[in-house]
Amino acid sequence: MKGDIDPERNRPNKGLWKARSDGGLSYRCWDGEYVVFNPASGNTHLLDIASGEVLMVLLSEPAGNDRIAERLADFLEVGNDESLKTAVREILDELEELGLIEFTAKC
Amino acid sequence: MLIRDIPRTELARLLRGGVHLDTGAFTTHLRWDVPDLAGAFAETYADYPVETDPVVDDFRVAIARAFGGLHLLARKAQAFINGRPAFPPFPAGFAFPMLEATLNWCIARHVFRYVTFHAGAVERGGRAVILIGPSGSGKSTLCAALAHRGWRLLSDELVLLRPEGPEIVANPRPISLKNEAIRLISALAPQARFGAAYEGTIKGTIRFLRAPDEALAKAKVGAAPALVISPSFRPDGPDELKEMTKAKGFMWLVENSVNYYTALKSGFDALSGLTDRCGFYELSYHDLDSAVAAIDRLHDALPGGQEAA
Repeated sequence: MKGDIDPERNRPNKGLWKARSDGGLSYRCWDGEYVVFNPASGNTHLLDIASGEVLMVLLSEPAGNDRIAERLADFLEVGNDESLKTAVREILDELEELGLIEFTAKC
Repeated sequence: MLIRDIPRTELARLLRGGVHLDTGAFTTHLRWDVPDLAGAFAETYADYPVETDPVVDDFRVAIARAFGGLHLLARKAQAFINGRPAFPPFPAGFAFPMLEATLNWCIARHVFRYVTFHAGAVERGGRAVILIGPSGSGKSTLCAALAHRGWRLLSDELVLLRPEGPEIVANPRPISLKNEAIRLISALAPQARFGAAYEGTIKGTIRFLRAPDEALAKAKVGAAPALVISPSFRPDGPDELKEMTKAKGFMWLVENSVNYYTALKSGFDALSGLTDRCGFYELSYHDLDSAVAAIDRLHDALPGGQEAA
């Protein structure tokens, strides 16, 4: 059905995000900033506190957008409102583009 | 034996057959048949040990006259690493700068046991300061200034990180200074010993500054990394020292490493170990005295730094 697809990203609205497991990501955090080594690409990335926390959530368990927003709101001690949900979508897009996470549609 | 103890004619003869040059971290088998080279080499590497007996070398470097009518007519020479041409033929008069470039290339392209950075490093009180940044940022100038103001030169141009420790490995070689930097260091350190001037290179005038005696006396003694500084020379700007976050400093190291991407996970771990230990700073300076003073202050503020001052 059309309503189940995010037209902007061309993927189902329902599904789970998970950290890419091929080879295992390595990361370090200093003062809230993260550096992450992706063995699949050989690249190293700098992540800010919010992107780093989202990645930490997904390294601990696969999660959907709502759950991730919930966890991030708790961590940053901010309201889980529409602006946070938008920010989470942008972070997920960025992490996916870097090859650090992947999306699995719910069957 | 030291190069300065070998009569010039004997040195020229030995070099035609090949000698083993020990620069601290590496031994290089050097051989050439270009007459322009012996004098500059003897002058700039006077205090380095060489062996003629067989040893296990890290690299084999040869500088030979380039063959082919035009190259011969133009007095061109060519550099070889491990028997393969390293660069296109160059004017024989620039053989010494090209030898230096070839030795750097050997380290940048053929060394995998260390994580290597495009940087300079000095040491005081067992603590290493890494000067990192792009070409033209003034890091070699500052490295030369520090090496004549109470700091020991570990290496310039390429800095070697041994992950175990971690340790910055010493490999002191002549410092390549260009154009205005030559005048600045001559004024700051009249005792500094320069080799001949090479004018009209693609980088302008180049002179090589001999590594100070202390650097050569401890050519096999490394130091624990303590500070990473990105200098930028701004003749008209105010002096400024800005602390950088460790994660951004880490990415700086990545950007300035010549072999991080081949080291993969072990490179990540090595840089993590370095980052844990180091403070990261951006330093803008308008004169060398103020820059040296700023780095002295940073060093003295380290735990135990005051005692070593």
